[in-house]
Amino acid sequence: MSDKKLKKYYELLEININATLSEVNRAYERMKKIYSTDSIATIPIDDEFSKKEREKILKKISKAYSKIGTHILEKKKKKKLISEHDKISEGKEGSIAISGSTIQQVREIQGLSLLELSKITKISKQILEDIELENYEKLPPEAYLMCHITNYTKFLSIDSQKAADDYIERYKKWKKKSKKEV
Amino acid sequence: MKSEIWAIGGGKGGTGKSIITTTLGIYLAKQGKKVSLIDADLGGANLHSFLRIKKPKKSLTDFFEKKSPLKEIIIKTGVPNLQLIVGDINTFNPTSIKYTQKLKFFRHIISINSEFILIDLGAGTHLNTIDSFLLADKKIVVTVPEITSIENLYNFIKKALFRKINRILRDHQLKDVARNAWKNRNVNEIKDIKTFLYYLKKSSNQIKNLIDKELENFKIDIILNQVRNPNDIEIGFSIKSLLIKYLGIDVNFSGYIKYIDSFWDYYNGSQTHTSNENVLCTPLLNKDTHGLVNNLVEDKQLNLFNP
Ligand SMILES: Nc1ncnc2c1ncn2[C@@H]1O[C@H](COP(=O)(O)OP(=O)(O)OP(=O)(O)O)[C@@H](O)[C@H]1O
Ligand SMILES: [Mg+2]
Repeated sequence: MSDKKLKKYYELLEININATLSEVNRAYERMKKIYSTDSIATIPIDDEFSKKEREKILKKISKAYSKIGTHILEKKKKKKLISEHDKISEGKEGSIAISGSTIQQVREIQGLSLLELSKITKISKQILEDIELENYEKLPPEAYLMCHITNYTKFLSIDSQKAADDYIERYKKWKKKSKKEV
Repeated sequence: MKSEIWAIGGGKGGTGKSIITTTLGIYLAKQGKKVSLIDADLGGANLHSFLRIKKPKKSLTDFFEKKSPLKEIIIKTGVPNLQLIVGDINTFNPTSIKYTQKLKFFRHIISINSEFILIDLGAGTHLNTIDSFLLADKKIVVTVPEITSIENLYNFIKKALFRKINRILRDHQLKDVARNAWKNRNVNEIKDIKTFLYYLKKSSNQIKNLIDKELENFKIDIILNQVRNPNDIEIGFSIKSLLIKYLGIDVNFSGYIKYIDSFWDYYNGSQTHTSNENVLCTPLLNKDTHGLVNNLVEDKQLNLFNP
């Protein structure tokens, strides 16, 4: 993403380029409220700046928000993670399969909450949590699951291909087993 | 001395422009800044009342009509570092003062040895009000969190922007473009300022560049007065955002002032004080004002995350 584009995104959210992730989230919540509800600030301008146009702006803002979110996470990942993450990945990623709890650990090291990640990845918080806890029975069908895990782990700088492959393997085993049991 | 001119307007009457002008003036003066207040309210000059001094006999009309030097119409307020110039009904009368005179006035005014010159524009969207607003270094608008006040605020700003764009086109010998665009607005599908600007920008690259530059440099500072709860503050953020997104101008939400119950009492309740000793402790001189003045001076705005 070019700096110029990024600056535009921050401008759309009306925040400083140094805003933290939680500030970005709060700014976005505020914008959503301004542009999706009627208030004494919108009503007097409603005939010129119609609801429809305001919804269009909100779409742009949403896009800016997810771009900024991705950007911040990537930056975090580059900066402070490398050393800590290496420790984990050396031990676990190499020969040992990446488990749900590894994913959770990597996430926590980065100081990210499930809620934050849910907003950025657009995967529900519940699903993210179920992935981490390996609550197989609650997880969505395999094709979706694959996609979710790839997207999720990408943000955490985990080898997402491997993470997804490992995970699905375990998932399949569980499925077979539970079928037998039935 | 380099002086900075702040104009305080906003359209709606009774929102607190005069008391805020006075309070900002007192606050800056207390910090040791040299400040001049100019009461440019057409019919309702009242800064002297807030300062608890008598209405001066000489006004800006003497400057414009009798060519009195500005320093003859400046009066002391009793507050150290703070002086006052008043206008009256004739001063900003459209027939008595031309745009060139206004320019001259602004040139003179920066020579009166003040670091800050605060102009109370009064209510309304009269052309003279708008012009003074546009000539200022800082364009401050005051509104309260009420629908009518917000509506007037939007109109005020739109009118100012409209005037500004027309003026800039005129300065570049492009007056007719704007005039014709407006005259044929039905054909041109111009129904508001946004579509007006859109139409003009389409007409040529030169005009597009001029307008874009003007919009970028058109900066408004919002003061929200009579705030009663946190929700009201959110309205301030909404107004700011809507103006930015709708008009494409630069807007600062500089700060807010809470609604103060004891206010009426202070000014009207015990009209026994004849001196102006206690103007220095007006109820509006509080923590919020402190933040507000700092933001205005430093060109910052209210903390988005901890307003
Ligand atoms: N923060 C406040 N808390 C309580 N009352 C306030 C506050 N601000 C203003 N007022 C009330 O509103 C009245 C009008 O204030 P002020 O005269 O400053 O408004 P104005 O915008 O200058 O009016 P006009 O447009 O008529 O010149 C004040 O006399 C006061 O009673
Ligand atoms: Mg007034």
